[in-house]
Amino acid sequence: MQSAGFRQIFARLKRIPAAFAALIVISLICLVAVLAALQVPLSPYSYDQTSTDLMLGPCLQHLMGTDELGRDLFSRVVFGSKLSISIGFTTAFMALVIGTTYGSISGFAGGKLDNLMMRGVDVAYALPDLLVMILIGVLVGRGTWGILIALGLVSWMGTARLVRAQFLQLQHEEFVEAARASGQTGLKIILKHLLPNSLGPIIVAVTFTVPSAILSESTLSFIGLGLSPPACSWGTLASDGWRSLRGHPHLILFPSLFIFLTVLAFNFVGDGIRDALDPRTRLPLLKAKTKTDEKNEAGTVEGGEQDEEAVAV
Amino acid sequence: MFSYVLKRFLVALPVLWIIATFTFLLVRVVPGGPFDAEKNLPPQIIANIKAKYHLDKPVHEQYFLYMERLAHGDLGVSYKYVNRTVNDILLDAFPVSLQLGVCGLLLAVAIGVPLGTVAAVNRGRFPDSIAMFLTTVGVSLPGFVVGALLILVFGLYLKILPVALWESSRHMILPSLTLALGPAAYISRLTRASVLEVLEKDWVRTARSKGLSNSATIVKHVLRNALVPVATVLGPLTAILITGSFVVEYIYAVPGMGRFFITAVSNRDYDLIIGTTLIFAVLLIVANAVVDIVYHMLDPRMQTGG
Amino acid sequence: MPIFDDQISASTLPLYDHWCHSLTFQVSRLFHLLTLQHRQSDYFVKAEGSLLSSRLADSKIFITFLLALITLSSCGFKSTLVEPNTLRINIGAEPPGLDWHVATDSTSFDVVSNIMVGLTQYRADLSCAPCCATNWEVLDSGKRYIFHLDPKALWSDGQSVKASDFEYAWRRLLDPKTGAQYAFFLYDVQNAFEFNSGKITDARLVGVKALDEQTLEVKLKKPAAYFIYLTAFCPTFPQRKDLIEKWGDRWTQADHIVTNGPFLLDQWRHEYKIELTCNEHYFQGAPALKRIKMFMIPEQATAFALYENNELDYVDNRSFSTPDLERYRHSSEYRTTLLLRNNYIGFNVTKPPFDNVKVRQAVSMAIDRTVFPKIRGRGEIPATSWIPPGLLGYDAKSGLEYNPEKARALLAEAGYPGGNNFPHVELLYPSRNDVRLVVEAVQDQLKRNLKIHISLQNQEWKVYLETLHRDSPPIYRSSWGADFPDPETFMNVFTSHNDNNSTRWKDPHYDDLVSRASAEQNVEKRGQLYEHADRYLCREQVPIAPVFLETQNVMVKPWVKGMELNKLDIQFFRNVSIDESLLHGVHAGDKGVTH
Repeated sequence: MQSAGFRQIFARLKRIPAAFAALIVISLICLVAVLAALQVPLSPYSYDQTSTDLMLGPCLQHLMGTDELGRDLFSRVVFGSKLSISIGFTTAFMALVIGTTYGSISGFAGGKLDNLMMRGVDVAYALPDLLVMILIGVLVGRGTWGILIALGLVSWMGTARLVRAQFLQLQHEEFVEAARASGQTGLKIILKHLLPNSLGPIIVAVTFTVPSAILSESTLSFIGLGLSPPACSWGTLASDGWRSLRGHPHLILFPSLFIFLTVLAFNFVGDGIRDALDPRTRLPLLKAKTKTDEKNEAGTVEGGEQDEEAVAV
Repeated sequence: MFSYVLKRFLVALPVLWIIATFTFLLVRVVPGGPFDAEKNLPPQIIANIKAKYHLDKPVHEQYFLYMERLAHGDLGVSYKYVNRTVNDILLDAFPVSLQLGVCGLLLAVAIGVPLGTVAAVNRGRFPDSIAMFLTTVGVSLPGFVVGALLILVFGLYLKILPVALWESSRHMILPSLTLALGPAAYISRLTRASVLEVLEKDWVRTARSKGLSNSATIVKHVLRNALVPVATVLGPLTAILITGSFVVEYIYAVPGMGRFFITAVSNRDYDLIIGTTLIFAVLLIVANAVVDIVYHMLDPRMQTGG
Repeated sequence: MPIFDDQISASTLPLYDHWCHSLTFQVSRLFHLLTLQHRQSDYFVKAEGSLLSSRLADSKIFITFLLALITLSSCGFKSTLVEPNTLRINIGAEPPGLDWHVATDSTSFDVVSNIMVGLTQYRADLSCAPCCATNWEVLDSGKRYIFHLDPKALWSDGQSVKASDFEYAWRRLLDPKTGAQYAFFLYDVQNAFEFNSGKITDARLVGVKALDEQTLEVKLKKPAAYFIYLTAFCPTFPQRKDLIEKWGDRWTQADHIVTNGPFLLDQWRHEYKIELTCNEHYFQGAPALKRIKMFMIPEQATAFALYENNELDYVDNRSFSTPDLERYRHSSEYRTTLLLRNNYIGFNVTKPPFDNVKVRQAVSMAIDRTVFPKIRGRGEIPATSWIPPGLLGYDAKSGLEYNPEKARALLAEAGYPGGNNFPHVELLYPSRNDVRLVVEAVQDQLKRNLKIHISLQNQEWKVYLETLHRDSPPIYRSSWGADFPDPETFMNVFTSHNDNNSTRWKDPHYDDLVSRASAEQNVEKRGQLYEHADRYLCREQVPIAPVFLETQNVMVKPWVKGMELNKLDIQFFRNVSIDESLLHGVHAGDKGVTH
């Protein structure tokens, strides 16, 4: 499908209330994350060894309470937003780069190379995510780099398949034939023609990779393979809080709330972008509906979703 | 048709072989060995143990030994669980994971399909938004948080369901539910999309004009056809459910296969790691193959490579 | 297929059968459906529609049945009564194996300690009481032991426990082919080390011999005053030659294993639970408990929730997280004991700056050990000496006391006044949360008291062990748990040739003290020698700085009587009984814990 220009897409996106609200939420959270990198109310890492303010519930001095070492949970959550969001975006970026490169080569080359590369994707799919992440964690160490490499390595396959499918579809379009006939090199064709027209599904896929990375990171922390302390991301905070669920639920509830909102927001934005890109989607009108409008509504189909779900499988 | 199935099967074998080799090498590259313990053993004892498990031989010899056993279906022995073969261990654990996975899948379908249908039929109106919101909620929390909330509410406060363990069929409910929420969201979206597509078809209007009430139409005609794409997705979902349930099995103390991914690597239990990886790979390949075969059968015009 | 235990009620079985049957029916219909070869999508959809309709109708019935099954099994009695005379505990993980020659895991020992007994057994205060051996003689100034066995001691298949069973078992433990990790336990026996390392191949040369059916003679290389403690420990338990030869590797399975202890192995559901039943014919009298269910619940919070829900009767450290401990510290169900497990900071004395003894002393003096119980919250006992309290040779003053000024003075003398020019070092520790708290506290203390900045480096457990073994860093954290209740097990760690001595510290004076102490038969003299060695280790040479001793924290339900804790953390249940009168009316699910 020909993708509309960015401005038109954004204009369409604005008309989907859920997606737009979600976009605002994400911007807010990112803003918080950036600010956190600059300044936090109380230090999230160091703790006073002699402190007695342990495991307090939410109160005036500590908006979200304290943890078992007396550290202010609010600062830690705010600081954690920086880490979690950056892990999410970096993973998505890595998946984007690796997946797009892989998929474009495979889709463009076609034939035997394509077959071979898709077998490679099969192998990558068949390796259990958890195993790869554990092994990378042990090899590289449990730092941020280890987590990022591990998460990136298990997330690129979907994008690769998507890009390849797009390329295969576009190969036979006229403008590609024209470009080939005019003697342009493969790389140029990919960069100037194929990629820009595949941008839509790629962006949608990337938007969905971010929340999945954030969730994977929290699961990794829970089973003990995530970031090592004192690094605090929402994932490590939530898994630390799991033990105190009965006595001090605030330790798990607040970080989980933030994870929840962020992931929800990204999901809505992803949906919104997908709907915005599909020219067949009818968007909520800006004026009151008339009877003729309703009749028109009955006539269109929303089928784009189904194809994408299937391909993502 | 048969040739296509055969082709898929033949292609799967080298993939499995690559996975086995890759994992074999990878686990030996990772530092730390299976017999490093807090109390260091005298070197001769270590030598004795290594000889027993052929770990003193050069890597390529170990590899050939392993591949030879693998060809006979013998997945090796565990270093940590002494005197138990990997086959035994996985045979004990796999049915439990299978049960959990199947229950989870059924619950996911039981939740996802009605939600998706309701959403599609009421598209654009309030029930649609609510249903889609509910499904998105299901995938927006990490698994262990969902598990924690369920245990807290149903097990400890309301006390109507067991908190953990795997003693009776009642014990299956909470773990399956925790497992099912993610796939339920996925299935409900898919159902919604395909029901919408079917709703637009001419023959639905025909059915309506024949005088069938709305719900009868939906159930009798629309749902039948809309569920086909959903059915094709169940394949890969099952594989993921069955083996990707480590967190659920860990929280609820369910004796399944998921825990081996972690414990086997921590223990450097080489054969068990490769065995578990291979089982997962087989399941996923079979599931993907089923999807492809079904697609192929539904539309033989689709001649993609994979 | 009997995946579940016995708890599917009779009413649900026919439904279950129907469900399985209808499931296979559905699957076969689906396959039949999918082999249709229609090309045109519309036609396909219509034809498929009719087939699908009946399939879907069946699916609806099938889903309804499933929901009915779930509802039905949820109904019935709301909760299960706490079972009479049954103890339910959590051992936390699957025992890697029950062959007590090959097992090294504490979970394996938890099981074996209840199904097997040896020559002696531990009392709660860890002294040795007679068991299979009614009495023993110590001859040749401690180099020869004669054990007289109890003729009443029986195996669970009725055969009596003979001296030849011990002889066979000890030889098997030392046999290099067994690959036993605890073979070193018997290295004091004559020719044991030579046999195990393959220098000699005839097992009969090893110094253990069955003189007759009821008499066992043990010859040691040199006198070892602690030797009697080893006979109460699992690796030295007897084994049945005939059964091991008959069943081979499968002899530990529940249907093959033969044991001589107070409980019998009844059922082993791997990765899930082990069930032991009472051995009615146990030669010292049948235990009061009829059944023990040992669950394997890896997640602490889950296990504790089960305890609160009355689904477990006893939980220990494995199921007791620190936040829960905080909540129940003052409960009548809470108990605690010191454990013979010492945590310490080790120095690699060949690497600067810790090659200078003054630096080591300064670091040891600069750590205020009282912070550790505060930050870990489990009642840890601060320790400055290596030998724990309660053991021979313990003296609270053997180590260096907390003295920051003196520490600073020493550091200045060593050439780093005020922490200037102190090289950058990394403290190695394994990736565990509780360990991290400890090393962070140490780092903090050194910064505040000595103004030196050390950074922390963590590694995954196996990698950490390998690093320590191969090339230990200048400073690291480690711990050591006693193998038997005697100072020898602690003191010989830092002798010159011990594989576990990652400090690379080799001191002949220390070696001499320890070897004399281990052979000394006079208790008083022995205590003095160990005390002297401990002072030398912790005050003068300081290759290590002990920090604290761990504790065992347990919760015991009020109806469990006779539960005794010991410092070696061996969990025996032969004296435990359940008070039925306190059980009346208690249901799983009632509000659990008393305060």
